[in-house]
Amino acid sequence: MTGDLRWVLAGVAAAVVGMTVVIVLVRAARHRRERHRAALTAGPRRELLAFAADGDDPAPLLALPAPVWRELLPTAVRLLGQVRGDARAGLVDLLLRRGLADEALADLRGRGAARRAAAAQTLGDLAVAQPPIVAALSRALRDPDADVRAAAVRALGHVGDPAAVAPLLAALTGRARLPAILVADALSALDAAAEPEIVAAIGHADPLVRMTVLDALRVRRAVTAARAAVAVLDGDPVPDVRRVAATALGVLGGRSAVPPLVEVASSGAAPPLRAAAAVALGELGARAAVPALVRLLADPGYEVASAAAESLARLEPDGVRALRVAAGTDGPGRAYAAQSLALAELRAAR
Amino acid sequence: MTGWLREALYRIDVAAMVYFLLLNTSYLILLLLASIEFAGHRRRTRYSGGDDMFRSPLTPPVSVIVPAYNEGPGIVEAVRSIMALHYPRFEIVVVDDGSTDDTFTALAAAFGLVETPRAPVPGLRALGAVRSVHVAADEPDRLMVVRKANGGKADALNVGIALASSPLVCMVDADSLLDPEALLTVARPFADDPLRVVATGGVIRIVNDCEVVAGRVVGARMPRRWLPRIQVIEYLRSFLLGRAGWSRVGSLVVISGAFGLFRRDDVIAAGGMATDCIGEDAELVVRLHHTLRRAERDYRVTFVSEPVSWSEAPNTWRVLRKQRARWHRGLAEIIWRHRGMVFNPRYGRIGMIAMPWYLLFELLAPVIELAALVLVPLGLALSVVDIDFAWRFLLASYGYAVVISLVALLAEEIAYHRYPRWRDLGIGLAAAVLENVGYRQVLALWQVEGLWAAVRGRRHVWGEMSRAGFVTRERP
Repeated sequence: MTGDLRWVLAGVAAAVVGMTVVIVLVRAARHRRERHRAALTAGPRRELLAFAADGDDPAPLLALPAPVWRELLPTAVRLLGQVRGDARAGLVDLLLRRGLADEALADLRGRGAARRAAAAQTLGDLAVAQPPIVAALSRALRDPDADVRAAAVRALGHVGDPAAVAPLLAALTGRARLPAILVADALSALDAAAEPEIVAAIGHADPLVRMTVLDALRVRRAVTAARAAVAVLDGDPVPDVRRVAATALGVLGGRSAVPPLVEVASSGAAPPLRAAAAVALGELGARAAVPALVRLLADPGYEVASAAAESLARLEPDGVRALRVAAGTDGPGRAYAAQSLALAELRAAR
Repeated sequence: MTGWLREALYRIDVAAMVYFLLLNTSYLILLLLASIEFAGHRRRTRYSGGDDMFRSPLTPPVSVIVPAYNEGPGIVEAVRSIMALHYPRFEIVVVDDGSTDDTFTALAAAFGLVETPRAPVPGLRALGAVRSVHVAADEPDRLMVVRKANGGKADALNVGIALASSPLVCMVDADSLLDPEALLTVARPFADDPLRVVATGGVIRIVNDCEVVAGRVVGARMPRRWLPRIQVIEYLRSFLLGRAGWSRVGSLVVISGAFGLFRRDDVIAAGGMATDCIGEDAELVVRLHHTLRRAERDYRVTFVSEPVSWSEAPNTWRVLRKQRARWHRGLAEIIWRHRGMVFNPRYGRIGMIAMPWYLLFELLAPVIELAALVLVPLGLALSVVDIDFAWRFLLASYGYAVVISLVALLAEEIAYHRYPRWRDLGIGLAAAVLENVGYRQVLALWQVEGLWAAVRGRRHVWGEMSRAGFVTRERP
């Protein structure tokens, strides 16, 4: 046994020394790489910044040898997120002429999830609405790797092409379920021409799609969706979908959304749905709803009563006046009224 | 000297050796799992869409809950640093747990607090009654300060959770420094997988002697003293790689109380923080696993291997002793409380792997280490064990442990390289060795002390003794 241990000991000692050497080498190699990159890109970097800032002649940048360009590329892509208008257009043009989009399209079909995710991200940064790019990113929504799929969703949002609506919705319910928030974000960022198709998806069979679409339309402030959203609020079989519709109506609903919201808030439905409807009435600035909200102050549940009070606080001047009355009278809603009134006064004083 | 005694001693020594081999190997496996996690994480941070998340109106709002008991000197800075976090929508709820110093007056002066009436919140059961609620006059929806009678840290957190208005609650220690991106980092899993993720945590690092400017760590440095230096290596190995490894196999059971993000509804459904348990942060995560597994929910508890919070490590042996005895006692209580999960297939990997691992290799490790330190020399004295065998055995066991720490250092060097100075690297290497010479043996002693306190506490003064958290400090 002791003899075996001797070998074990020798192995452990070797491992300690070996690990130490590896750690030192890893650091030394990184430092070397960083120095190399800094030396290689110092001049071109200045040129790139000058080009982005003043629209200088892109010729020297176009003429850079490939290895230098490769080191400079991360800076160029980062810069893309920081500039606007003509500077951005010029930079995109430069990147396209250096073949960045073609390279990313090739990488998107390549091996290695990291490479594909980077390619999707790059295409999103470029945000060029060319049919092959939109098609490739739409295919990437079904990538086996979750990071690639997420990068593709975001990229489609940045590109903004309406052709992305159908693939985005399909990917939401497919085998590789995409995060609903990401899809809603992407849908909300698409060009205006995409709106009719998104509104039409309110009638989709899958509740997750209906919720995602309603969220996206709320962010878009899509008033064209008001009627469809009211229909969901009134009759959707899934309470959570109705709740999301109520919240959406707080932003995109008009005067016609007030009666159905009042009705839902005062109904015997689930408290989260009723509370969402009460909040939406405040968001809408629906002064006509003040009497109904005052009645809800006396609701036995905390969720509905406090939501009603918060909404009244936002409805100047009738709602606040009603709160003041309720806060001064002994009744079940007094505590909620007092709480929201105090906050409303502080907000008003700002 | 009877034969059977010699035989028994020999067997115990061999068993101890096998134990250390298994212990270190389990760590090595965790580290390898963590490396896979790291590789994935490294590339994710590059394409993670943090900016998109910050700009999105759909990013879930967060309530940051800061329990405070006699934090007068640092509380204003702490709140300022939280306010400066890079996150689109969040509120801060400071719960002043009956402080006897100027915690509240400092806050009131700095943020212009005004008292506001509050409707009673349902489901709020507090040991220490809520006395008043205040908000910042300029930003009533941003900062709330609750004053309550002293009831301990867990109780303060419960009050904060109840008054929080966001679907996600983030629990923060008032004395840690947060990374500006901390909230975005730990909230990302909630945005990416909103239906399943119930809790996330991040990396806690040691702040001693780091370069700090305006409440932010701008340059990581190794501490000046060896005691915290060794703890840097310890944190790296178990808090960074250990937890990343567990997270990789979906069995994370500890999220540090210094910074953790939770779904509010699930925390409330699980009963909130336990007010009669020392390690209430870890206990909450175990209880979430317990209740959600029992409800057969498809859920995830994940670890983001990105530094989010920087904590001050004990600089003196005296404080370290208190801390480690308390940690170990907490661990014992948690495992005892949830003993029904251990080796119970109903709780999946948590019951069959994670909980047994914590029992065998975390809770009992100091006991066995101390036993080996007594029995091996005893075997030597009774010449049961060969001297050559003994020193080689000890050297090999501790050598293996050093290798594990070096693997952790290598992973940090590849993935984060947060310590840019060569000098700090040298110190790290030395600390990895020094940890095994004296430090861990003393620690084992204190951990056994904590374990003993847990055993005694349970028998005699259950409930009274274990009301810890803030209780270790002076009570009013």
